[in-house]
Amino acid sequence: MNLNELKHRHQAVKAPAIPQDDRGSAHPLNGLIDNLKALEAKEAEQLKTARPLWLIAAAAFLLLFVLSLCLPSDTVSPARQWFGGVLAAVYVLIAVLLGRKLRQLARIDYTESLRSFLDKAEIRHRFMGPGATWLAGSGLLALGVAGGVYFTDAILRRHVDPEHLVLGMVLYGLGYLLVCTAGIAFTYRNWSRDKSALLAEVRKLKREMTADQAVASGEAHLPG
Amino acid sequence: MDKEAQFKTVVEANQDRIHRICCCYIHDEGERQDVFQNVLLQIWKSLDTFANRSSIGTWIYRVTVNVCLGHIRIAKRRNRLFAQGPDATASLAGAEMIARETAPRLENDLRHLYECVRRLPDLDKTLVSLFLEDASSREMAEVMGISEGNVRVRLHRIKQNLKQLWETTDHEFE
Repeated sequence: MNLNELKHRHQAVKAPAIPQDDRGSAHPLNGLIDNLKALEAKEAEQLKTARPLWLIAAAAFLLLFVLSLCLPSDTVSPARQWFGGVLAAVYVLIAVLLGRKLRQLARIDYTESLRSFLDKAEIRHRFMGPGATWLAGSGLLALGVAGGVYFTDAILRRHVDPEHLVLGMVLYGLGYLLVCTAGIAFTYRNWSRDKSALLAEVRKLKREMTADQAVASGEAHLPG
Repeated sequence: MDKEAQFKTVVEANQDRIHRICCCYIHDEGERQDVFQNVLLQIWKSLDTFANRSSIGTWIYRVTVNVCLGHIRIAKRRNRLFAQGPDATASLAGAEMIARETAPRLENDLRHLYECVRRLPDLDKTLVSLFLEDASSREMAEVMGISEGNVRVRLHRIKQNLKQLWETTDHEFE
């Protein structure tokens, strides 16, 4: 095997001709540029259309909450108002996080060095970063507490014997915990199916990159 | 120069190089064409942000390498999902038969070379693809984000591995 000779032959390999459009453009790349522009516009459009549902829902919850504050206190109890407020806040948080994630996915920068590209890919593919864990944890806790207050006020105090009130609250807590655990397990299963292999691959490449760093310092011992 | 004119200049000057780098990563011609187009799309999208901090050649290498590696990462996952039947263990010689049918334009030695390169670990593929393009150690280090010393050490080892692979698979190409 003569690698240098093969290298020269490799460098003579030409790319297949870029297909031209059938409009007889003056330049062979005009058709491609039109397609690229269309694709870019389509991606921007998809990004725009993915968010409104969440934003509308968040705005609707906020509006309902504000309206509930305006109602006389004998119509809507403070517990319900609290619950509505927390629900609206959590929804707004989800809308913001979703928007951030979509922007992050749309802006993958392929022009960075491989190391930095892999660092960012690792962040993109991991299950939950510290920031997301804190936000999700706080959101779930707030929702659980506010839901508990509402549940106690609207259901337990009205339909359950006062001596069983604590038991009812404990059961609510356990039920909520179960729902949260199931939600997290379901999300983890999806991540595991879709992303864990990618993450493992990225980490493997990063390990390979650093593996030879120590050897590189002994470069002077190399022949030639 | 406006974006379209700049894009045309960049693509015309670099399309062969992009195609050749893709050859080092992707076996199937149709798939290679898709990746080639994805590289062009990323170049189009990022052209506005290209600051002359590095040469356009290095910049093109980075985009091409990142797109190709991203593609094979996804392809590996896809293959893992579907590789349950006997096809998953098909022999390399079988793969070569397909290569001969799908890439008739390439001469035997080059097909052999690309097949050997594709069997290297991903990072080694990247270095060899840049070496074959005559990129300097500094350019390779810049593309990979590692030191020039590391590039030289790796390249020395990879060339030996490549020669070994070439010899062990030679009979498949005769």
